[in-house]
Amino acid sequence: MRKKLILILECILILALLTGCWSRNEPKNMAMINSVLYNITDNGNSQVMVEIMHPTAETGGKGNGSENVSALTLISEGQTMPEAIRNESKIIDKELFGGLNQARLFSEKLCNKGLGPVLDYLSRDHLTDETPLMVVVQDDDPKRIYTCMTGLSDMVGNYLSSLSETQKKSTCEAVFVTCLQFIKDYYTDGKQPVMGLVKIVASDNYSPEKNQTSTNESEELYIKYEGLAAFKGDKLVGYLNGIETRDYNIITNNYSIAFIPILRGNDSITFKNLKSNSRIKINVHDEQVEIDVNIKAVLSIIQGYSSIDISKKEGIKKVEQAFNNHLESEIAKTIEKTQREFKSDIFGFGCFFHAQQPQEWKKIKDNWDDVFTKATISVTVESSVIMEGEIKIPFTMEKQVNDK
Amino acid sequence: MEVIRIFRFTKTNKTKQQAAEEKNDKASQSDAQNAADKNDEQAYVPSKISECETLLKDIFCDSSDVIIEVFETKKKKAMIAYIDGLSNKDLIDRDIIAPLKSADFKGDIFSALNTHFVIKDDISASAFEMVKGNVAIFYEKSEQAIIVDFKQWDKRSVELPDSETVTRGPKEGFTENIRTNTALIRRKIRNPRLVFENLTLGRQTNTSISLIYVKGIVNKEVLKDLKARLSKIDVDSILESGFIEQYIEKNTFSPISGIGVTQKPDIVAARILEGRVAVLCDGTPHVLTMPELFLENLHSSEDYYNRTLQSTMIRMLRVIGLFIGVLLPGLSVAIITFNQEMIPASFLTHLITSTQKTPLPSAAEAFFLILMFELLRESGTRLPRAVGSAITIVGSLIIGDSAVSAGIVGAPMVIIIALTAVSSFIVPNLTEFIFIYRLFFLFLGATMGLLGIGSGMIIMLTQLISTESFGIPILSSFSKNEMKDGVARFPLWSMKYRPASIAKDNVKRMK
Repeated sequence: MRKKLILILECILILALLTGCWSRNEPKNMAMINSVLYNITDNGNSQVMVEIMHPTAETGGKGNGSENVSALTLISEGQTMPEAIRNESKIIDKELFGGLNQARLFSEKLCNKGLGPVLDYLSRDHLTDETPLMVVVQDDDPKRIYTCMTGLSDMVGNYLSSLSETQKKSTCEAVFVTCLQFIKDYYTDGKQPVMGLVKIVASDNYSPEKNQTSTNESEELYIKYEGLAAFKGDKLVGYLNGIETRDYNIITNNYSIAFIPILRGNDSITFKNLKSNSRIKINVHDEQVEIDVNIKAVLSIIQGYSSIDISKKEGIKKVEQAFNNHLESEIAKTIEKTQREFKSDIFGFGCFFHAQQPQEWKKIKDNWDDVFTKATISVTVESSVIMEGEIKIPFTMEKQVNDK
Repeated sequence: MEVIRIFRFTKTNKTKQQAAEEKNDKASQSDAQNAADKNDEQAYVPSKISECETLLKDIFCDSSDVIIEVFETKKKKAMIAYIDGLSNKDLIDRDIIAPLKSADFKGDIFSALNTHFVIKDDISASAFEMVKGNVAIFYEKSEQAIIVDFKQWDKRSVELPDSETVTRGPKEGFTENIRTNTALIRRKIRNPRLVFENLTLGRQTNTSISLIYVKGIVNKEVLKDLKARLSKIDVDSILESGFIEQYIEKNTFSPISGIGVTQKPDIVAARILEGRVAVLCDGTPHVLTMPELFLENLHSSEDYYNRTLQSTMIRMLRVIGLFIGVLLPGLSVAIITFNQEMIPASFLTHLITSTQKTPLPSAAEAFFLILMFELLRESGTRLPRAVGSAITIVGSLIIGDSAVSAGIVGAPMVIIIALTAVSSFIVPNLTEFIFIYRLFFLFLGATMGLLGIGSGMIIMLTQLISTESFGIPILSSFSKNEMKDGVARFPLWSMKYRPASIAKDNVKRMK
């Protein structure tokens, strides 16, 4: 009997130590946030625009996607960002729930001013987590993004997150940075953070579904995810375009399959880069830092229209050589642009320096960015073609061969 | 051990004996009939038949189905007494009355009867024998009663029990007659060392109970413990083996019982060969086996008749079904109420849409649906068979569908509870366990979220670990030697040892 009493008391003790009731929340009282846009107004107030899932009666919500009928956007202002978010509750009748937030959008103005205060709030608050994508909206009026077409999803946040999954396999001209990655890079000594980049473009493609219900605008806007926004500390310093972002991805081993064309006169050769591996070596000679970037690429030829006969070994060698030269100059240009214009090391060379030359790193780590600006870069690319596709001889050359 | 109630009777005129009323308790080994003779000095059989007749009628209180016939033989008067419906009248006529009434009857009754008989010197004991279904024969001036066994009554035939159906395996099930049951077990284990010990329990019902084990394999402590517990039973009636189960169990208020119940002889035979004891109760086809380990509830006999892979996969399925049946409502309510981030986004929108219009919070919806389902299940077992199927279909479909469209519950909760309900039938022996713990976890999940479920699991595990069935912990199937027949079923040729926790001696099954 005594054992039973002790057991019962033990059970009650375990249960009483849990005070879980305070986080109890019914789903019917929630407004699910899908994406958030952080902005500052001209007079310095923080502005927050929130996109909420609005479940309608016949929701699949996933349907034809060119209209935002199932999203609700709300704007509110406040002196600081958390206050602005709290002020949202004045205009929505349910509690905001950020657990399924897919994307955090930042306006250019805010990034130029500095993201420090917002990041402090986002890391500190226990109800916000660090998985959403971080994206800079490069536009004068970033609020327009919520009027854009969202592809085959129904909301901007869902669109961006599914875009991140598909783009990783097709092109490489964009980066997808989550909040966690950004904060990690921010705190790392040898690397500066980057963020994805989004532009709002007017449509110049013909869409056969123009008779859908959405538009009260006369033109249709699209969201284009391309490029990279470079930061120094928490301030935005510049942008890289698509091709430069591809080089960035090659250097930082973020790479997946991409198509790289070479055009020279009548020749047009396009390579598909299957795999690439980059090795970075840092050497220090008399206070002069040399950064060697060595890239090994495995290619397959997608388009081989040129006068080089790629069915023979020498032809392949020539083609590889052309690729090497092309890529080397491209990457060198990109790194020099970073040195000149941004003056910030977004590639993470400082981390390699720290790993390979720890004594030297201790001396210069406080002004690494200045040292990086003066460093010399040398790039070598070694490529090897492993697949040539279904035909061997370039297209018109085949006819000539047969004529002979 | 047995209890014999000696009926009270008084004699008015004679001084030879006096009224006696005693209650005897003692341990006996095989037959109960000798006990009366040894212990009772004052019981007797009157020498005059008419006195026997009046005495018997008095003992039986003039019951109309007791047939007492006095007839004349060539020499003296004889009396035959039996209960109508319990004895075979044809055999009585042919083997008792005919020889006694025939012309060659010489006065020696013992040689005239050509059946097996037993002699009793006590009329109350012979009345007891009559109640069991035997025939009592009295002869003038012999002062003895002759008991003959011509039992015959209407019995149910041996057929497959409807609650333990199998696709492979013998389709015999126990019936209500204890002798048929013992015969069924004898045919499974043809071993002279298979022991049947007999007892009688119940003051008014005098039900016969049988303990079955194989001497040399059985766990001696369990047997001793069982006999000690049975000896403490002193009750009015034992109508079913469930009574015995409840009188001998130690953990009355726990949802886990330490005693197994089955209706099939091959299961009982297999359990006896692992060192357990089986208890048969007359009048019921449900046989108890002790001790019982927890995982046995997840086993079925076809697991051993089918091949290894199939059995293992189906056992894993049963484990999954058990977990779903116990945990799913609580877990789902906990996640919906406290941790909405864990739900995938597409499902969450459905959830919000469907719960927008319902008045109850998710926990109350879950509880309401569980209640509804238990009502349906209970009424389904009581329905007459003709109406049964129609109402179950109508009930489940309509109630589920209409509740959703009437806006009382949301569709996700209906499917969750339907899944729970279906998987709780996979393990039919654990119905009360699942029911109690399901409500427990629902309550914890609704008030304290996932932390509550976690601590509920700790509490449940603590209870399971500490429960013992006749001195053997019920989770011993997870010890090293017994893992081969726990959740997975290893090939039969590799199961060389009996479960070491039960069969302490003679652990090796095969070479």
